[in-house]
Amino acid sequence: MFQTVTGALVLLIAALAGYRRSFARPGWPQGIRFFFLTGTQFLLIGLALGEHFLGLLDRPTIERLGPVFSLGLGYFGLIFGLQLEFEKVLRFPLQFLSSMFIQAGITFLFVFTLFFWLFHQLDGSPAVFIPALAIGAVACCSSPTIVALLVRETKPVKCAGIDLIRYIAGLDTILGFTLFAAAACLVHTSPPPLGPACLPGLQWMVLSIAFGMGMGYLLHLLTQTHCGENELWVFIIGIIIFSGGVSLFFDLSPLFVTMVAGITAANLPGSKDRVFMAIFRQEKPFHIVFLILAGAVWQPGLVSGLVLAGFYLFSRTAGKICGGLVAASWLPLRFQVSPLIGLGLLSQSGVAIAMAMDLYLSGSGSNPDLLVAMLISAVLVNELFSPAMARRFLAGSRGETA
Amino acid sequence: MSNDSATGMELLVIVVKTHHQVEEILTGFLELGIRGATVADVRGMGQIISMEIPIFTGFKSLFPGWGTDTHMILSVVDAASRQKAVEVGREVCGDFSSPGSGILFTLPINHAEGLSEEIG
Repeated sequence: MFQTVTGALVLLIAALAGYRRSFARPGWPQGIRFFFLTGTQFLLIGLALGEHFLGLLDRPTIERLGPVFSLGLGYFGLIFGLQLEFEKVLRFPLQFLSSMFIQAGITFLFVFTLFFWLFHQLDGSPAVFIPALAIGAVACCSSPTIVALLVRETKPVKCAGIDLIRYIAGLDTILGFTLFAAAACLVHTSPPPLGPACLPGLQWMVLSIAFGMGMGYLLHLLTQTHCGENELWVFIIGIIIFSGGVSLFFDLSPLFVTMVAGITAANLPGSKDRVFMAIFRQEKPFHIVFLILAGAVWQPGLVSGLVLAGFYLFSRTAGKICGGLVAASWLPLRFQVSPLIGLGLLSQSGVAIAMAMDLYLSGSGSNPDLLVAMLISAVLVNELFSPAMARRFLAGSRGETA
Repeated sequence: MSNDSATGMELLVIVVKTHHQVEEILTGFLELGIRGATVADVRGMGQIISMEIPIFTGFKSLFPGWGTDTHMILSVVDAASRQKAVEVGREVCGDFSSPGSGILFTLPINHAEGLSEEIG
């Protein structure tokens, strides 16, 4: 008990102190500065606090911090979903949306195919389909952080190519979360209570969507009444914890369920902007807590994790580049876009970490320790080289016009 | 309605950080009989030059003004109401001495047209 309280306090202090101190490194070389600006160093802090070094956040402590996980995963899903007002998504040309699905879909296929083949060679069981699906789902997501930082720092000429890459990086997580939820649902071999005895995975998926929509509608109803900031927070936290907790209890993906809740609330009339602003202010502390927790469960000594990370990085990078190439050359865009658009979409950062932790908790993979080790190692390497790649894309985008 | 500086009208400007504070201040104004105020969503210098880095909110960051929740309340008040209106601002935001708690100031108005009559 004492260690759980100490662990929770360490997390709280690190999140609050890190939130204030870690997101400004003005004078450092760009590669290192971006590594710090994305907060990736907190993975290493988590590793130091974990069982391999200080032991403050060992396995039993992390297991007892389960509500923090359901809160965090639910938070990330909700804040992502709350952005997605259909009217705003469709304010951009439809080709933007098609580009997003094409590049994310191709990346998924690259990574899924390689890992399915690899796991099948190692295991031979058809059940390897599920972890391969989950890894493919993580791979198709991009982080908008690096592109936003580079656009801010280099101030490239305003062009539609940059809007396109920011649009894709901001939205391709939809496909990732959905495929990821499908992987979690396919783990179920029996249908939900009262469900017919066929297609249990599909039934759990439908249940995930229905539950998310219900939670979104409940959030909408609760925020219709005139309430103060504190009451609003109680409503939001209540919805997040309940949705996240129920999802974890039934081995569903909290990220997906709360994303659906967020999308539902965002597309109903009401004070969604107020809800978004209330939770947006806490995005970085939550992100830091998750990075630390992910670092604490990370087992960097797993050689097989490092080998798989190499496969993951290779297939994901190839998928992003090919996906971007196909989207840039096949779609009838009204402007020229660099075929290297995939280089700007390599960063993963917090999105991949949240999904890795979801994987760790929901058991969509048969060996969560190995999958988490692979994803965290890949993210660390990825965050070191993705800024240079994104910079290359931006440099090639200067001549493009809308 | 037309007023010159001799009438003693002042522009009260309050910059606050949350929508909730705006509602509290406007409710306080109504209780004082001040029924006219304009509220604008604004961005402070710190919000513009600081590194606002999207982690999960990349799509929202495509739209101007995302991630800001600062509001400016503008109200033309007479000398009698000014001090009470300032007190309302202090009640809601504190004494404005701590950083980030908000800003309050008044300016004399030389000429004004189109102002509403105060309630009561």
